[in-house]
Amino acid sequence: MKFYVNARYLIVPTMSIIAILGILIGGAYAWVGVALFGLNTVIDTLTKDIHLPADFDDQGESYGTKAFQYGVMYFMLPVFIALQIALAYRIFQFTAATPLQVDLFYGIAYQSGISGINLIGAVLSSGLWAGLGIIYGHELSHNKKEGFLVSRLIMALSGASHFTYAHVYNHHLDLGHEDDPATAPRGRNIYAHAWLSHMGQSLFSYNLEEGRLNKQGKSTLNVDNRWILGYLYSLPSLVLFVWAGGLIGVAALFVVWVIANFLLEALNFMGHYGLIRTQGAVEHRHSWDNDSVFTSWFFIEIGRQCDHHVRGETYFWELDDVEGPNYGIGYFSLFVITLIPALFRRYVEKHLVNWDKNYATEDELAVAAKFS
Amino acid sequence: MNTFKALILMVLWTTILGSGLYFVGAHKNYQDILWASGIGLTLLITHIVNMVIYFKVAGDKPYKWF
Repeated sequence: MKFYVNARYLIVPTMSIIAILGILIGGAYAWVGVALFGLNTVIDTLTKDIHLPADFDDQGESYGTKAFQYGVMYFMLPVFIALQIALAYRIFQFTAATPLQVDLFYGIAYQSGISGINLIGAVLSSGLWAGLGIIYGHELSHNKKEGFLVSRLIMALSGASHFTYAHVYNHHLDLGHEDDPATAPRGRNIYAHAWLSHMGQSLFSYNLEEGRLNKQGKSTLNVDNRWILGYLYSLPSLVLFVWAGGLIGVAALFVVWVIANFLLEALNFMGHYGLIRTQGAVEHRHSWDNDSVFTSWFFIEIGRQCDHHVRGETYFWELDDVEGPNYGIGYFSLFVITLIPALFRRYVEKHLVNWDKNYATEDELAVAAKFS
Repeated sequence: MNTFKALILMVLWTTILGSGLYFVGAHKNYQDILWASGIGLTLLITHIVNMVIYFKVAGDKPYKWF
């Protein structure tokens, strides 16, 4: 049981490494990361009706092993660095017009050089898996020790180091309220939300640091400014891609960052769309659960938002079903729906009606009425 | 409207920095690691300034529901 509970969360590490190998092997394999994303969407849709509770032994102790799970999460930092290096290597070959030919590396065939179309595949694969990897940045943001720094570094690979502070000190405290840019109000589409949520969370971190430094009598423009420091953590990525491909390298990194941040904001969008909190503590009803089996295992239980937002310090493998609002489908399936705003509005309408009827307070209903 | 103004200013600022990099020959020297470091830092500063431009011009737009 212990092995099963711990091993089931290895889907993303395994697939991330496969995506990296695909880029390194080259040719059509550069698209493997994209193909895996498509495959995951199919699996998630086919298994949407399977919902499993968290696993505990007779004494109520979780089977999850902290040392192992943290080891995996820390291991993901070098994995995501390797993903960027693999892409940069291919960009370097493309800009250097390296001839397309099959070579051998310890008996394994790989394509030296890369075509334009396969480079697009490598960029998309990198963006998707950098974005999916953000789940580790999220989980570690709740760690008050070295995990917080690892979270900042993982997020910096996608130019979003500000997330770590904003997530803990803004999103978790102001959830369901206008003060939380990561909570999408009713009627907003995922594209507008991705922009506003990203900028809003960075603004929060900027204001946080400005206030802190001004209290100390220091200027905002300061190396002690953790908002600026967060962006500086992204400098190695920028230098790598500039060096590897000049303008093409910068364009590729830009695409990777846009995709990664879009996926991050899609998770925020799906987790809280349309839910309202006017006062009092955050409750289970202020989040949407997405706990179908594949989503739970793939996204290391990030879909158990209802429990996570009430017990933010709880390890992901201990999060459970708390019978909060639930879309009933997984993140991959829901993500596809959100990409078509008109379809998403139609889909979510019945869920919001249910929330208004069975979960909302009078005050929350009054706010909801303003959206009508 | 403020968001639009902010975007215009961000594009303008990015264009100025991009042109500057072009005129100093960044596109010819980027494979020199020192040049790459300088270009990378310039791009990062461009990004940071773009964020501040947005904050100052668009204000608390990300925090507005209505």
